[in-house]
Amino acid sequence: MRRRLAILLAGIGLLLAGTVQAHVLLLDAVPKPGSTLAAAPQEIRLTFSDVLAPGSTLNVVDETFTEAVGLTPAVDPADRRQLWAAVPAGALDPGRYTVQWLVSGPDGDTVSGSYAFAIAAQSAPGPWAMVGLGVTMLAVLALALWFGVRRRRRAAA
Amino acid sequence: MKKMLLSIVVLLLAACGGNQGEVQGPADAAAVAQPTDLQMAVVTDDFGVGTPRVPFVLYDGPEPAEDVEAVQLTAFDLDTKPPTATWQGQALNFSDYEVPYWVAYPEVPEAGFWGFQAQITRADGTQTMAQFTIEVKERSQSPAVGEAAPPSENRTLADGVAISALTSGQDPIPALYEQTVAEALAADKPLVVTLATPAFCQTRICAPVVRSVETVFQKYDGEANFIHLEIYKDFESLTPADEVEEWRLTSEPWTFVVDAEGRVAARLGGPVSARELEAALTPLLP
Repeated sequence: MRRRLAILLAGIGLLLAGTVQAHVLLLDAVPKPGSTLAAAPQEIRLTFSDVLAPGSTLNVVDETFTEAVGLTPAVDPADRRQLWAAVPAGALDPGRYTVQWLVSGPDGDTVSGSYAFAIAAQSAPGPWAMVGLGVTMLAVLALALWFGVRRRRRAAA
Repeated sequence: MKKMLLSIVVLLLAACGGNQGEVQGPADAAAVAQPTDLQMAVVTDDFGVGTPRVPFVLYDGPEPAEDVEAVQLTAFDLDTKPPTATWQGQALNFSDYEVPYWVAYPEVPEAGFWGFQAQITRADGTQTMAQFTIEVKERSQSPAVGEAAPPSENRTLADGVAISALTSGQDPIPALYEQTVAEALAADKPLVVTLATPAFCQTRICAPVVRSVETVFQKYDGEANFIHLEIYKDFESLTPADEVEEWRLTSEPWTFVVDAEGRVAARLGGPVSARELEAALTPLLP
C-alpha cells in the first residue's frame, strides 16, 4: 500500500514551467460522491473540467486506508477529460470507500482530491429472520385452515 | 374460537414484522452509513514532521460547499497495521477568502503516509465522513518553522525595474516591491513574504493570496515589513524567479511569516485569508 500511495502522492505539487494555471475541477464522477450502491461498481470514472496530462491517476481505499488492488487507472483516449479504472470482480466488498485522485491539467498544474461512496451490505437472513419466516408461514397456514373450515361449515349449512 | 384464532394470527404477524425490523436495524444501518457527498481537496504540499498546516477545501460539485458547520479530523499513522489513530482535532474555518477553506494542525510525530478521517457536520445537523491521505517528510523542503529565512536579494523598484515586471497583479501596492528580503531581515521587524503569481495562477484558490497580504499590510504598515515575490521573473518565457529555488518551493503560492530575529514563525501554503495571516503575524508584533 505504501508504495502505491507514494506513487499517487509523489506528483503533488506544482509545476512551475506551466503557462496560466487553471486548476482542473472534478465535474462528474461514477459512482456519484456520497452514493450507496447495491453492488460494487464495474468502473470508477471521473470527468474533469479540462483535458488531463498522462500520469494522472486515482486509487480507491477502504475505511482502513487499504488500497483496492487490481485497478489500473488511465486517461480515456476517447475523452481526455476522463480518468477511469475498471474495477475487477471481487475487488470491492460491501463497505465505505474513498476515491483519491491526482491529476495534471494541460499546463502541468497538479490537483489532488478525494470523495466517498459506499457499497451496501447484502443482508443475509439471520436466525431471527428465519424465525420470522417460519412464523409467517404458520400464520398463513392457520388462515388457510380457518377459511377452509368456514367454507365447509357454510357448505354444510 | 374464531376470535382466538384471529388474535393468534395477528399476534404472530406482528411478531414477524418486529423481527424484520430488527434485522434491518442499527447494525445494518451503521454498515452502510452514508458517505459524504462532498469532495475534499488538500490545497498545498510539502508537509514536515511536527504540526504541519494542512489546508483543505470542501467542494459540493464544482463549487465550494457553503453549509459545512464543523469538521473534526482524526489522523491515522498508515505505517501501522491496522492504522493507528494518533490525533484528533477540529479544523479551523476561514470563510473570509474567495474560496472558503479549512485548516488543521495535526500532530504528526513521524515521517510517512498519514490518513485523515473527517467527520463533517452540515448546517442541518447531518454528519458524514470523508477521508484523505498526505505524505509527511522528515523535513519540509521549503524553510520550516524555526529555520532562518533565506536573505533573498530580490529585484526591487529601487533597481529601476518597472512594477509591471515585479508582479503580474493588477493595481499593485508599490510598498510591497521596495525592499529586498535581506534588507527587511536586517530591519528587526516581523516580515511577511508571499511568493505568488496573481495573474498566472487564476484559480480562486491561489489568486487572492496577494490581496490578503495587501489587506494585512494596510493595517500593520510600519509595524512589520511586507514583500511580494513574483513566481516568474519573465512573463513571456515564464521562467521561474531565482527566489523560487532559493526558498525551495515545490508548489505555489506560499506565504511565510518571519519573526524579528529572522526565523520562520509560520509557513502558509496555498490559500491564506487576511484573518489567518493577521492571526499568524500579530503575536510577533512588539
